[in-house]
Amino acid sequence: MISYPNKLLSTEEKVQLIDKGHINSCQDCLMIFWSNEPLYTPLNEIDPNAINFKRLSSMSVNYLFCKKHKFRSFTSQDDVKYIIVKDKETYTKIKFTHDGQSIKSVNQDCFVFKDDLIIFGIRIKDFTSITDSYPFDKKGNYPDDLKQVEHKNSFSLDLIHDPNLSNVFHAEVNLFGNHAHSENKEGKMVRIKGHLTDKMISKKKKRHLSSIISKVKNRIIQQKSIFIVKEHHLLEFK
Amino acid sequence: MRYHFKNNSYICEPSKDEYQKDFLKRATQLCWDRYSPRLKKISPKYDEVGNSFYSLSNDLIVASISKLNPSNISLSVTEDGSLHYTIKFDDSTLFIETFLNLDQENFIYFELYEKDDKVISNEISLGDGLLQITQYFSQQESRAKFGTTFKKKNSLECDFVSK
Repeated sequence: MISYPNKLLSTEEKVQLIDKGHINSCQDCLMIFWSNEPLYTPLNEIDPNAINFKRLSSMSVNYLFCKKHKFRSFTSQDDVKYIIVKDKETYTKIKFTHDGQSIKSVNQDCFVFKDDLIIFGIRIKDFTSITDSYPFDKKGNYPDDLKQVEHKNSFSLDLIHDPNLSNVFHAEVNLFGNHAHSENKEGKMVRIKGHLTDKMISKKKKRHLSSIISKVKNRIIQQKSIFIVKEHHLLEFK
Repeated sequence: MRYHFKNNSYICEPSKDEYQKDFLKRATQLCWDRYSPRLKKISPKYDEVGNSFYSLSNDLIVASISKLNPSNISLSVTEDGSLHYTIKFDDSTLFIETFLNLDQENFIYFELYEKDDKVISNEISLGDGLLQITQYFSQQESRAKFGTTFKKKNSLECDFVSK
């Protein structure tokens, strides 16, 4: 029987490893996440669905430390295969802030270990360095007034460490953009959320979100930044 | 190559375009069959709009791209309601992504990378976008001369020479 790994249970000491190791600026540390579907299409190209907008905005990932860090054994590619299925409110929804919240274990019936999941990884540096303008330039047979309607904005991505009681190395992808709207009249860099397939989404918002996700997908595919994490990645980090 | 058939003589050259078009069609259909069920998961309406767009657009994309000596093509359908083509050439990659809209025009985005440099990045209609890409490639003289990537030929174009 597989037990829930103690190394994933939050303590203040483990939380501090992210800052002490400067993990978010490390060249080789990864963010990892799981998928049920293969990374490559039948034509052997990266399937862009691996980075669809639903995943990008508020995506849950885990840190996977590279071999440069002495404490690298605290993480492994299997960490994201432990899926909490019961008492999620306790184990995953409470943000960990101090040792008083620490738990001793996760009940055996509250998680499953899904060994058949495929683990994808992206170097954190490769991911958070993606920035570009949005929306796309309009070319072709658009009327001139339509081409000039939208101003150019810029977006950026960040990885926010977000430890909970059962997963000290949990992090969340945050997307930021500076287009002006009713809640951001000054056009500051603020977090963007939403769903492209939301029935109520405005045309303008959909154009903004789809422009961003398209550019992010293309950049990741072009640079081959996403890959399947296997044991050898830990041993032979580039 | 010279062929004789029923007392006539022909000079035959393999048709690269036809081979490529056939390959691109089969490749995109394979991907479509595999990934289009993702649209059903969003809603039946997305499925309907996506099917209709694919039927109208894929032949146009294949016909235009087949003339540019691609080395590979891949199509995916994403859970956020887009059809995403990745088309590889010797030194460049073209991305064509269409975000489906149920009650308005789709958003169509073209991005072309030459190695790691983005050289085209536009929202544009499919026809205009393909034309822009074709014009861009036609300016790359070396590509036209040396860009043959498909070694295997499976069709022939023959010109009548003599009896």
